[in-house]
Amino acid sequence: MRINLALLNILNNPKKTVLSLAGIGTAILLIFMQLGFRGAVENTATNIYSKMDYDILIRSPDYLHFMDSGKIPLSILEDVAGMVGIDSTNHMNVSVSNWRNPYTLETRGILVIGVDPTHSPFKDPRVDHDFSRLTSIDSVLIDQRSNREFGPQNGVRFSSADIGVQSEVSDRQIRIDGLFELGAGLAANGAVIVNQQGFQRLILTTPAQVSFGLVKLQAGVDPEEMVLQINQRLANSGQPTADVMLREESIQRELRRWLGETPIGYIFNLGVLISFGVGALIVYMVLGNDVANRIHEYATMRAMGYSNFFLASVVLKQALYLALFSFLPTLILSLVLYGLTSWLANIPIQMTWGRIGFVWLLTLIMSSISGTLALKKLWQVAPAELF
Amino acid sequence: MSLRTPLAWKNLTHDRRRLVLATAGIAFAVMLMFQQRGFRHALFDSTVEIVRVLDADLILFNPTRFALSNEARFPREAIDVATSNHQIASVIPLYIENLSARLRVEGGRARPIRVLAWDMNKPILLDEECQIIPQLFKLARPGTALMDRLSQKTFGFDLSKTAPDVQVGELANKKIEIVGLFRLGTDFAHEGNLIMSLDNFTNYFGYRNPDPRAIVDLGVVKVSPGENPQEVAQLLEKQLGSQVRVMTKQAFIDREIGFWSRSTPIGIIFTIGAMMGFAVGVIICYQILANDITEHLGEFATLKAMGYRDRYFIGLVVRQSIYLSLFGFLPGLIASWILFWFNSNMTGLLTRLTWDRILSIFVLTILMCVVSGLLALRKLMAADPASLF
Repeated sequence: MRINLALLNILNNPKKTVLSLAGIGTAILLIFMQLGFRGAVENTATNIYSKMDYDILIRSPDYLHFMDSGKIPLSILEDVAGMVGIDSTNHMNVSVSNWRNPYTLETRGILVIGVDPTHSPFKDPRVDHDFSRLTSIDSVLIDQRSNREFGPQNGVRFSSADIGVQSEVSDRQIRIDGLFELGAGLAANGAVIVNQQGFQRLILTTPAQVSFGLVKLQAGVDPEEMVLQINQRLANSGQPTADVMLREESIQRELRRWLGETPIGYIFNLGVLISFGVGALIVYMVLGNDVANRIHEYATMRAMGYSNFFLASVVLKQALYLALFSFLPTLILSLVLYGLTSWLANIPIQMTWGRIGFVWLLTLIMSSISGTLALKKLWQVAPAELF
Repeated sequence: MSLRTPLAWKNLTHDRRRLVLATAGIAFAVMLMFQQRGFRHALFDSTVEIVRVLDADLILFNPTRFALSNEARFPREAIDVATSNHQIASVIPLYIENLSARLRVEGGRARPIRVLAWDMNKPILLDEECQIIPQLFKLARPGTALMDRLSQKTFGFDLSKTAPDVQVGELANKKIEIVGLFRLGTDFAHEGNLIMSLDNFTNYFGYRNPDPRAIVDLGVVKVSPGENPQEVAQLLEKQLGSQVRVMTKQAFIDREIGFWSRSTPIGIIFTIGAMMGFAVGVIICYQILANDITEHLGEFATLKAMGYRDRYFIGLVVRQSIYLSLFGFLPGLIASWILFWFNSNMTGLLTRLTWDRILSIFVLTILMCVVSGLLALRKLMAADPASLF
């Protein structure tokens, strides 16, 4: 049986190995965190869309992002509802306003969502389970994921203890009549849901204008074909222009807006790039030092007739072992830090299999590059010089 | 032997290749720290830049305005009341409009831009490098504005050095001429800036009825010579009641930064990023120094056997650490400076590389190098010289 020299080299000095693993682990952790932050921005940006119930979205051409949506006339939806292939249409209103903390009286920006409580635009029961409580014009449901600065009674999270509490939205008296769980997003840190009359009272709009038209298709209808038909129908009926798009496209555009048109995407991409550079550097230092420390041994082996290929494979294998051994503990640590950051920043940071795979791939690339660079030292020595 | 051998220096410099690598490592750690802290600073610096350039001792604002981007305003009467105090030299109203200020080039998509307006006859700015004051004369004509050259490129205007003198667009559905460019910077809530005269502002934002001038965003206060701003602030708070809050300029800046750092997810994420940047910096430095010291352990052991005391080694390692941090810091600083400049052009965000920030990273670099070196030295201290061979 052949001796596994790479593994023995690593296990030979456990204390040193732990130090090396910690170094590489740090680099991996840095990459995981930057990707996690970026992922959190993606999740947060598209979170509400992902919980809304629609196949085709109709919205204003002035739309910028979810909280600055522009308006379309409700009549567009009435028009579309009569078309063949449409199962149902629904609408929803959104706006940003001021919430007053009932205890400190401080104000914070809040997302106000106006719905028809008897026809929920959401498909997630965690959002619409209390819709039946939206009985009066001053009723609101409050998002349990709202920031603690919004003033839950227990200081942490809105709960049934907050029901009946009175406060103000847009300087108008409201009462918390129920709860939901959504997560408002990047432009506001909390959300309330009100009924249509409540929305008009808080935001001063007319019922003839809505933020989003939500279209559900009958089974078997081709959504892309339907988008074309709706566009044609709107053009023919002289309706003002509106953007009609597939569900998937609405989500993609939202991602593009937050990652492409704000500095956020740039910052986290740069963060990943720098982390990768730092990681490669750390692995290179660890391996380079190891090769330097063992240069006598390698030279001896070379003199004994071991091929360059064999020696190279030892160093590269060592790089891969280091990657392997540091990956799992780092993954666990990343999960802990994800949890901590989610809790502190109040946005969801989730690990995905895709990300684990991607970072593992980056780790392998990083280790191989650094290992190959570290090999250079090996080629430079003539065996005789070393003794 | 009159002089001692500068062993720390020789240890470092005898192997050039090694020295370059170690320097690069430290430089990278320094850059990482600057960069991660830089993002956090970019968020804060960009957001408060508009307040920083105001020539103000005190700021008046509506207490519900939890952040600058929140458009809570207060009635102009408060300004008149404040002005009547002899402790106050001037109060200039500043008008800001963002949500309904939609700007576009012809055929383009309208996006909100922050519009700033004030009475152009009144000195409101400490200009510095913004290039605003020398251009204010251009704003006398109706329908004109200056545009921030750091505004997002998606607005569609030419914001380069070679931009034409006049560019035409549409603001709030009315024709607007951009007659000059200045430099202020965007932030996470604003994609760009326009400056216009109060008369023009009144024309474009007539919705702020009945008189757009009657509702003010910020009051920019200069106190009379010799007055203590803090005391004047207290006096005004009492006088103006609950509708208006009064803070010193610095306190107002701190309040705004406090909102972004504590109450927004993005601020919290950058704080965590900055802490991680520092931790990784320490680890890289430790790797470099610990390795270097381990390498020379045999030689140190010989010296120890020869009778050199622990104090000598501590001094040696401290010196070596300081040299290394000095070598690494400068390239790290230059690289960060280039990266900041690049970031600023890519995103429109500002990151100020101020002396105190440079100094704090510098102190941290030295500190972490020295601590890492001393940690690595423990091995030597604990050991019996003979066992080290």
